[in-house]
Amino acid sequence: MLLLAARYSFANAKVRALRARRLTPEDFHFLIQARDLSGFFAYLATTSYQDILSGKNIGGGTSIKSIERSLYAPLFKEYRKIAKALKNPGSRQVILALYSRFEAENLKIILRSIVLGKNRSLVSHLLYPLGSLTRLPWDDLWNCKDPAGLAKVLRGSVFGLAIRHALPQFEAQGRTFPIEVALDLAAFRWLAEATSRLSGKRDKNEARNVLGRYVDILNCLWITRLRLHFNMSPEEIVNYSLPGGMDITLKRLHLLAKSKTTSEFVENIPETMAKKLTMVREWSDFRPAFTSLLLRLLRKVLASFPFHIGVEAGYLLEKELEVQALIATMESKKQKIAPKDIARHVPMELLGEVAHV
Amino acid sequence: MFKAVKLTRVTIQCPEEQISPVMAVLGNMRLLHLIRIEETHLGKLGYVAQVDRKLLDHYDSLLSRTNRLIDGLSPTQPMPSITKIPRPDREIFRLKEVITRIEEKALPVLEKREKTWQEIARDQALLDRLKLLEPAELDFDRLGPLKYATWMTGLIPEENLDRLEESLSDVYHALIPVFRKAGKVVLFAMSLRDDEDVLHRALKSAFWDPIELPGDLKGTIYEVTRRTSKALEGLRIKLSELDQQRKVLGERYGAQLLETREIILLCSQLLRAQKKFGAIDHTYIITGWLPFDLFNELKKRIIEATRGKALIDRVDPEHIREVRAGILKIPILFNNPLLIRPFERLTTLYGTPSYKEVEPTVFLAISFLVLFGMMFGDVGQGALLFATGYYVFRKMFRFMDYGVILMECGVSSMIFGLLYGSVFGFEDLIPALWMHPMRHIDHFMKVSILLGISIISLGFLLNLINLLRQKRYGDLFSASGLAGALFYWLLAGLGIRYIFSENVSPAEILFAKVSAISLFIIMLFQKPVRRLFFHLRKGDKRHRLPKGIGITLFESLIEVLDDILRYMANTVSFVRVAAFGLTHVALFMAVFSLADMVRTAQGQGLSYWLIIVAGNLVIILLEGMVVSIQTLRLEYYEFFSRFFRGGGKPFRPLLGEKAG
Repeated sequence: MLLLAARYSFANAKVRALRARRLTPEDFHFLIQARDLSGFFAYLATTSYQDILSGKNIGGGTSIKSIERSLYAPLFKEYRKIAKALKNPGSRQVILALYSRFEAENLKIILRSIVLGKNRSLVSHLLYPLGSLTRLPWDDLWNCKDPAGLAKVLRGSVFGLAIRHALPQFEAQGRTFPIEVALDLAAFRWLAEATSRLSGKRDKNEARNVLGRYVDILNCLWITRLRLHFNMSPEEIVNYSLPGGMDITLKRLHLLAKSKTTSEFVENIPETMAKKLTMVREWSDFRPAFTSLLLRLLRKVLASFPFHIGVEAGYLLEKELEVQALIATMESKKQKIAPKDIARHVPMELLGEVAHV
Repeated sequence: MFKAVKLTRVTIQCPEEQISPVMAVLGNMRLLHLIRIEETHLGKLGYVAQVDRKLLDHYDSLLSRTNRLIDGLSPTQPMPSITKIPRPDREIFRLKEVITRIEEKALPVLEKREKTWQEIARDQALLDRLKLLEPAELDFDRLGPLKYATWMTGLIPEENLDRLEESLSDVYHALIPVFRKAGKVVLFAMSLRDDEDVLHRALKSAFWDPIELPGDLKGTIYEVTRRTSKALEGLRIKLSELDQQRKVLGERYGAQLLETREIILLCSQLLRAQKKFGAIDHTYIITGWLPFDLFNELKKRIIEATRGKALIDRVDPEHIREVRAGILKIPILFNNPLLIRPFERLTTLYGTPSYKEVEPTVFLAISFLVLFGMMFGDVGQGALLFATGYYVFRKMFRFMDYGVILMECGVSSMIFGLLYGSVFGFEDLIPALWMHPMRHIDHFMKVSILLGISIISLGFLLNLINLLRQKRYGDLFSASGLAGALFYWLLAGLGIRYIFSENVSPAEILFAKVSAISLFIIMLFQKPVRRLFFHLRKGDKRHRLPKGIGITLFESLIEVLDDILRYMANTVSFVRVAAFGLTHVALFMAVFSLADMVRTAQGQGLSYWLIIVAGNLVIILLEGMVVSIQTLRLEYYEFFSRFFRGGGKPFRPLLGEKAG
């Protein structure tokens, strides 16, 4: 334990300091209650997100989509700070692997723009502002003419081989979907490998507790998404599932993919998770329910034994969920949805009980 | 040599039907710089000729046929040089016939060869696929007729195998890993025919890379592999026979094909040049710059070619209004001897001289070689530079000019090596015909300064010539003109007198003072006075003095002081010649000290000589580069800046660059 304390004390202090800047339930309350989008931004400018809004012509030249992406900028700054605070290479690898999910997202945008022949300037507002932590040669990637070129430039990174393996199906199907899935799988495979390579049993177990459960939840959400939006068969869903889960085995995943109704789906979910999902009746309600589930797990981790990588990873995931909730609120404001309806889509864990309002 | 070739502007008028022979003559003469008719008043009125698109299309198509034959036959003959350009409109018939005849002989062989190549590629790909599947020991006689089962072969990423297995757990299936290769598993997958769709979907989502096999394979995989290998062997023999035939054809027709391509390129270029011509009704007008001496020859040839149906006229530049007004620039055609010509590259790197300027290449070449030799004087290293230059000259066609420069620098270095008595840094092998730089540092410095004064003075002289040729007489009184030159020579003379005799008489000092003050006053007031004259000539009665005369005077003072300071700085700058000459010797001393240390420790063995050789190589590379840069710097900043304004237009002869 002393060893773990020595390894994580600085990073842990950093996380505590950063966490103090997160949005409070009161912040979310006022953001949801804002009269319109400009009111929303006026309040947001009083929070830790104020730096993002400075210099942006909101409602003028700057599009909402590009503001959405820039809301992620603090998250990536914190990725960098935490990665820097971690001196142990194994622990840092876990954070970098977690970060690589966003690199995969940007790679997908480049891939689509290459295949559709779109100019860089047309899609650059869709890119995540990854900051200085990324080591991928982005300018070279933009100069690629086809996915094979991307694979060549990415040779040596986890994504190069993934794209190369997906190329035959990209050519056979004539769409970017196989490569996009391969990029996601590559990032999560790296995460699983980095977790399993951690030294120390406790560190590894705590990391699996956070990241393995996170992957389980994502897999459940993917199943609903692939079924509802992509109309995929169970055998396809199983093959597209993310590696590195904890409680959900391949067999259980297959059962979940075959579930015809929401109740059947809940029945096939492991007991520890299912207890919190018994109220779900609609497929679309799974998302907020799983998000709440994840947030509760993260809160628990952040409040317990502090010296393990699960704290750093957990904090970054919590921050990511905060940004997602913020974006959902902003989008709802843009569509002029009533505050009480917005509140239904923001996890209760973020809203809390604001007594004085 | 000291000025560009004298040019004259030629205008040719000929009827439409005679344009082809005229173009042939122009092509053969080559030394005509066409003026785009669009840039003249005729062009602005819209009298611009059209390119004969139909004929050009014929040439383009013929070029692609010729290129196909050349690519196919890969001739090894040297590139022919075309001395006589034919008439494009007549030549096309002959060229077509030549190419058709060669095509009749060569195309069947080339097509057969191409087909054989494709068959080899196909069989080789099949063989590669079969090799991957060999460990599965497939028997296509048994797999082919299966009615209720379906099978597939391919590769999947190794890490996807478990998920693929699970995804197929609801159907009867078999997944047989054949072997693993670069993170992938070669897989034989089988299921009931009723579940074929499930198998397909599962494989597809597991990133399946199918190994396609033809449907008509018979026998075991070993038998198929054997048959394919044998077929491949037969195809390779056939290919080598066809290669032999191709070689024979290449030897027979190669030279003819290369010559044909050159002619096609030249004719196409001539036809494209038509867009620079003018046309009024059915008459073509061609205008351009030609060396004055070639005019009579051109006139004779065109009259002969058109049987007197063309009019040819010339106007000298000084009689052209646009030239006098500075609207039309006369191109510059250099005229330097063979050994000086490569230095034209260094001149044009700075700028292209204008027609009325002194062409400075010859001065650049001589001073460059002297400065380089002084800084890099060594017989042995000079010989090595010469040898490197010779190699570049012979082997690297594109850098031939630099090869010549390197050879000349080598010779200069050898001459100064003899004067310094240095062979690869050894100063005791030959006697110094002049001095050992390290032993006569003061003398070396003085010589460098003298050389600097000479080069700057030459710059002044060339500038005076330029001013006179360009009729800029007013500038003679400026700091960069005659007044400035006299001032510089006065100070330089005084300095030289002091350096060499250390005794300057009071009368000389008084003369220098009076002259310098007078010249300074002339330089200072020349600009305001010229402005005043201009003002008076304009006849502005309202103001006695032009506006801003005070500022002009102040500007003039600053300019004169700046110019005088620059002359001094430029002269002192030449001390670097001695400095780098001494550095060269100092580097040798360092190498010899190192070698001596090794000799003391190990004796005069291999290590001693290795250090001498490596040291010499380092000096050649490092010092050679530094000296070249410094020499060029002295040329450009200290010498050219005195007189060279540039802004000229290079002469671009017709057919200077190949089309296509």
